[in-house]
Amino acid sequence: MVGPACKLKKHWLPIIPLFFVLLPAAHCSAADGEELGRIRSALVSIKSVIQRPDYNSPWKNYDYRAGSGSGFIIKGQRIITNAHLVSDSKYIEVKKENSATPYRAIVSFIGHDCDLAILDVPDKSFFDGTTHLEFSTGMPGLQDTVMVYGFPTGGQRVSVTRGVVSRIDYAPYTHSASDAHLIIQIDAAINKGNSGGPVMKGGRVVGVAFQFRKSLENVGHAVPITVINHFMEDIADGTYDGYPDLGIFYSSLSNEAYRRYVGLKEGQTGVVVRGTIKGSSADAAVLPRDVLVSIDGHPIRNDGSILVKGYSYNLAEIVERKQVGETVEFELLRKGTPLRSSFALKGWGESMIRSNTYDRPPEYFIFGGLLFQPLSREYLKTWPNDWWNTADKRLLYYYDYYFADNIYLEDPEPVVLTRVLPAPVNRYYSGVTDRIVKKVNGKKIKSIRDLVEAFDGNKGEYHIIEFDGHYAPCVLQSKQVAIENPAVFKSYGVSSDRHIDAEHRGDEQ
Amino acid sequence: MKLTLKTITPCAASVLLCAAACWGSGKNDAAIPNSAVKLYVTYQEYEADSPWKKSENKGRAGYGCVLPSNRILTTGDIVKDHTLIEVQKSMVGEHFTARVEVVDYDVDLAILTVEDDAFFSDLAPVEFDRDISIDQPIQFLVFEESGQIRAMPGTIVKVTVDEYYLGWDEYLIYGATASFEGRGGGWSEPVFSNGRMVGLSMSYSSEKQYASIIPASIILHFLDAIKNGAYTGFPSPGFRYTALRNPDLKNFLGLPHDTEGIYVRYIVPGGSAERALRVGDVVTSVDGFELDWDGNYLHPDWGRLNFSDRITRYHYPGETVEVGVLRDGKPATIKMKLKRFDQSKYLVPVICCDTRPRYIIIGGLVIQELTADYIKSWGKNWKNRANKKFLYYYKYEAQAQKSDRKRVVILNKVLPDNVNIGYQGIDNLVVSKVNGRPISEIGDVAEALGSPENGFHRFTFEEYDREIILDKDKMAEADKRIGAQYGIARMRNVE
Repeated sequence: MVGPACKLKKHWLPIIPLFFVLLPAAHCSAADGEELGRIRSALVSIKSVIQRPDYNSPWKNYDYRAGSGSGFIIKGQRIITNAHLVSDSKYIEVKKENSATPYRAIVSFIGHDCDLAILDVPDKSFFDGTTHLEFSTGMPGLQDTVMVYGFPTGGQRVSVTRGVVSRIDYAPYTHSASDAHLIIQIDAAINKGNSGGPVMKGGRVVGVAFQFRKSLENVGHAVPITVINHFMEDIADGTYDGYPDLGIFYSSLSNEAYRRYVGLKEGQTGVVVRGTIKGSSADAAVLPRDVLVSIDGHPIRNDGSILVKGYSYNLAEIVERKQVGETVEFELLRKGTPLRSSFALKGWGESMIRSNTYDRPPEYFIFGGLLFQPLSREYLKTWPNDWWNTADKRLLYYYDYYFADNIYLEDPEPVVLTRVLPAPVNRYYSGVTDRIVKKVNGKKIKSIRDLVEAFDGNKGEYHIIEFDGHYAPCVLQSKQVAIENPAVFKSYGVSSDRHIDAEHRGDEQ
Repeated sequence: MKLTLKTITPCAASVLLCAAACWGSGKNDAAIPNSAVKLYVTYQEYEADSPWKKSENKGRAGYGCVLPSNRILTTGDIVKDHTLIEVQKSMVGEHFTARVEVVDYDVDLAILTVEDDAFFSDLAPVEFDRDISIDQPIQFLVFEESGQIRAMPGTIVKVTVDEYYLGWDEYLIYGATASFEGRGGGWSEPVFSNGRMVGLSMSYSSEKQYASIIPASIILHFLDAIKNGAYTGFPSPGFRYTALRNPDLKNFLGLPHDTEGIYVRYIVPGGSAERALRVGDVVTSVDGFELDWDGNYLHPDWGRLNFSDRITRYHYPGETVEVGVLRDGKPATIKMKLKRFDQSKYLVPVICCDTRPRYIIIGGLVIQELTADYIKSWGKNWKNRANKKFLYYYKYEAQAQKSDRKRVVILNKVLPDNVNIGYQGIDNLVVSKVNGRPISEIGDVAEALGSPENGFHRFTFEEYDREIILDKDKMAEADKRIGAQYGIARMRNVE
């Protein structure tokens, strides 16, 4: 899909206000008293203690804060909820509506790309007297009445809200900031604390409430059953791989001249490939200027849409419904010749530079008081007051045009000198911040691991750091760095000189 | 959404009448000659976002002063984008029409002429004084609405080398404290001391009560640069540097610990230092003056001043200055031939007035050259809000013109029409090729459109290798239709 290229701005917030409506059971057409009782005994409220790392001082965490939300029990004594409720959590507890005892829960699976998580409760006595909810076999239709259950802030007891499905469409998933999947839009307010609660139709789960649109009132979003199914299938083998991604950039052929130019005949439709992301699923299988005519037998229309059972979807929907490792088949025209190209789908991985990052400590390296970090969305977010407009302009360019200008090929993980902890060894370098490191000791730097190797492997008298742009190099005296390093860590309260992830994210293929 | 940004004027002028005329008062009460005139300028800017249009005309007022042989000196920003300039001897006199003889926006100075010599009767040319000292009292001449000329008192507090009002280059500047009594200042008021002119005010902060003044020595250098007919302009050093402070950097460069000088980190393409200096050189002296590690030389009266003053104020383009360097640790003297670095040498021009933006509209595609004015069309907070790639170019690469890339040619937007269905909404991309030919400036687009590929025009963009294809044979009719629909009189300007 084209997901990684699209610019997602922060129009969406996972959770916010307090207003909620308690519908009397008598008004509730979807669940009678007995039915409601059954649903209630599958609902849980969730409290989590969350602690986020401080990307300005990556060896430190911010103060913890408490979060609360909803979840529900599914088959196999598991609880399903939103990823955003339990991301970066240090402690989670779950409670049944009429129980006085909270139980400790742990995260078994978490999908940041689809904002879903599975919790387990080690003490199985928690499940005494509970029921579990069944998933629906299909999507709800437009205008269908659905019920949203949960524990919004403002009370201890279950809240039930009735809504109508007002739209089913692709929308950004704000938790990761780099994903877009199908959502169910409901004309009912999804309030703070509703997150993770079930959206039910006919007594079965059709979605999980998860976010709402800030600018619109009474519009809530739910993760639809198709995305839940994808998540459940994915974890069946014991690991979560996440969504596969095509890695194709294409242009629509809505323009008549463009269609003729690429050699489409009257009545033929498709889209034209501009390029593929190196290392992605479609790399080498599809070439620039190929015209994609069909995907898994569904004819591709000129705007990139396909028809499935009378509904129009983006062609990416075919990939959305598959797991990593499954194959996809295109019919295409290459220089006018019809071809078939089928290939296995790969995961997108976690593009740290473009996505919100959770559950992993930030990577960094401190050397001679100079703090180096990979360029990441999380680091850019440390700029106060609207980081997207206020952060350093060179870093924003690298971030925004990472794929568009093929920066990722040359600099897969740009390393930034983010901060100088002043010490005699680095005197006069205090202004040398937020520069992208090009070379260290003559070696090209493509990741923070390259940087560490280039410093550690240098036996010369000096360490030389060169930057992107037209700057003087930074020179540190090797002997002095070795002498001063311990003192720098001590005086600035740095617990460790580095945190570097073991795996090479850029190389996983 | 983009907004058109209004020109930032030096200071909002709210004119308050003041009862007490303090003409000739103060410590230095030598008579100021009757040489100040008032200017009324009607101006009209081009709309960078819709380059075929001019915005509504507006007016601004400023001051000038009379030079020998019936000419008037004022600041460049007063006459910027003018459509009509009128001069007036006092607030009650007749308006005469003036025209610009020479303007240099880099040093923010202009010379005007008036066709009717009668204007200059009973006006006396100014005499300049190029000397000044800190704490010297000065007077800014302003006209009261009553017709009287007043001298607003001020004091010189700083002599420094800094950026001028419109451009990026740094020249000598006087800083002065001054109170304009709430009326606003910085509108090119002539500045006098002891009856002689010491400068022209360039900008004023009413909050800080602080004025920047273009010194007489810069004005005289500007006047000298016109003497033999053609205006030569001011030379530019043509390189960027870093203070050479860190002892480890010195050791690494093989230089003694006490070395003073600056580290050359960038050679501006097409500038004076090209083929003279190298990245990594340490400049120790310029024009016979030794530099400290911040790049200052010692001026006998004003103390430490940036070395670029030795180049801009004491030389002209075409002259040679000697630059002492340490190259690979060894001393050498480099002869550097000085060049002017005007806006035509910029990859992204930062001063874009008086000239129509260069653009081509074809099939509704609005293609033009990236300029600071275009980036400013993002509105008030353009420095933060504009397209991130354009901001990056503006901030870091504005002077980085190369032989195969003189300008950044962009697709501004697509004006919707039948012929561009499927492309509407595409905007702010960098054009890399047209019909397979590399694009270095807008003229290349015009030329490449003469060689369509099999009846198609193909536009290739840097971002994601995106392409736009148009049917060549449909262009003439489409352009006529689009021109009529959107009220575009000229579909291109490539001069």
